[in-house]
Amino acid sequence: MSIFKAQLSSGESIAVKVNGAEVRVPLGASAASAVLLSGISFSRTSPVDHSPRAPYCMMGVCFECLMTINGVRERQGCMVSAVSGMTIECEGTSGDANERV
Amino acid sequence: MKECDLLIVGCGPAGMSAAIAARRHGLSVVVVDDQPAPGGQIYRNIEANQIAGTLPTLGEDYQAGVSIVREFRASGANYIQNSTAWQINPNGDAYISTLGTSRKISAEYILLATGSMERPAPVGGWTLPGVMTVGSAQIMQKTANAFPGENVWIVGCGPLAIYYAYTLIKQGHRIAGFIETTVAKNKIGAARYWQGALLGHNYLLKGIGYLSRLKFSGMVHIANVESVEILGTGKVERIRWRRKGVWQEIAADGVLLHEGVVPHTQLAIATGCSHEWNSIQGCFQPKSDKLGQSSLDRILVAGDCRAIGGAKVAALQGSIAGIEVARRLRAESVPSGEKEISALMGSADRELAIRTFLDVLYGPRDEIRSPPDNCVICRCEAVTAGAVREAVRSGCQTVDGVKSQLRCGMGPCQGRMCGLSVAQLVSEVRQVSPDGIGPYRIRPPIKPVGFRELAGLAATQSGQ
Repeated sequence: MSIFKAQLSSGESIAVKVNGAEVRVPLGASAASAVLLSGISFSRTSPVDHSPRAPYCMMGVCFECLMTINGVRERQGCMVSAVSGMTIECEGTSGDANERV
Repeated sequence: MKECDLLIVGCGPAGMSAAIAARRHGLSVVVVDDQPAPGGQIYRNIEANQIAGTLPTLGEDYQAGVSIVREFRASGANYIQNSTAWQINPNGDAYISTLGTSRKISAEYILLATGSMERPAPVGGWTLPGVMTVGSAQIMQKTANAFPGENVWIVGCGPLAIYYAYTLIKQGHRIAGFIETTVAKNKIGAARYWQGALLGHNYLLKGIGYLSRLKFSGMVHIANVESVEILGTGKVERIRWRRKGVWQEIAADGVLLHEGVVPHTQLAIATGCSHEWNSIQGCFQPKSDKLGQSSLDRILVAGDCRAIGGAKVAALQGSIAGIEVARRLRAESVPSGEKEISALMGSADRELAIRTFLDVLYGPRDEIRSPPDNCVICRCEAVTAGAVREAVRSGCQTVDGVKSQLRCGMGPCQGRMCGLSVAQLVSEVRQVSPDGIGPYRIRPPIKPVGFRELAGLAATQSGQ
């Protein structure tokens, strides 16, 4: 269940993989956006209190969006532009890939 | 040997305007931007939205960025995107990371134009998946063409929350409702600044227009909310709020928090600029004069990172800074510099006329400055407000003392999210102004840099 839904009718969209499942996002979206739109319920677990976390600020301030992108761990997903074929891995269960309006 | 005259960190209205002005006077300019394209946050992804034809739906304020971005692209500034300035030295050296490689650029002057960030709004349950910010929703709107899903509520107060809801409804989308935490008695305090509000009548009328559009849309609006809590197991499930002393609850799938914006001071503090407490806005800001000169000779500040004033003011301050640096380096090519700057300052003062009225009206409720004991205020290290109060009572007199004791501020975000909360809590327990307490000591790198990257930087430098 995603807090956001995408409207992909206008403009180009590209495909990335979130935990192996294909997600389509517009060009210009970040890797964290793709994770949010994949329907995932959480993307990370706090190493301190093991609470589930997900992207919060989407602008590089909160560091909740840490994820593995193209094999590189602990990247701020909101600061990385999604490109075609990108593989994104994070914790959490994948919901329905690609929640659309 | 300096590689450029002016290095600007940030490519929003302030950074772009400074680059345009400095270039017009023949300075060599480098702009370092952590985004992939110009615009900062307010004009984020504007070129792509122009091409996609989505501009009209994003509001007039957003569209104002088109001409600035165009002028910036044509200015001849050396634009380094997808890059982070992770350390700035007061002598004008900047360490910049671009896609895994770091380099040093030395400048005569550095302008910090790092903009603003959402005021961290600690409420019970705010770390739950499904809680985000209005700012993050705007970023989803501008970059991912994405909109809130089924049962998502805006919780908080401030012009940005209203503006976002307005653009959503204009685009034919909906929000479940707006739980508004604007403090009722602030209207009385704000009314004292009625003259400023009238001078800024354009802003007032715009705001009234947005509010009536929202009312007309039938959006659920719960006003005068005193306290909020978010509940759920593993994700947002319910929102609780207190209004006129009575608690109510509603099911929800998502929450977009907003309690105004504050200067993003991370880099300025790490560089060593002195900061002061703005008691009306409830935030730290760099000490600066009207030109933007900080406490360090070679460092200037402009835009929201200097003090919250909005996009128009940011652009004016950026222009002033660009001309001022040109005057210092090339006085002969800036004959009417003083006049230009004076005119720009006049315009900035006019744009700022309504500021205090808005700041007082939308000042966050006491609960934000002083969260309940069981509320997490450091998200990274899961430290509660109560733990901070206890640490101060048991002897930690400073924010850094609290940091050493509890680890708040030591997590990945390096104190960006908890800094204001901890300063305000120390201030509250010690009964002194946050001005006497100051922000966390922040040490570079202000974003993580890998060892291999640092080694590469050292190798390049020793090879010079």
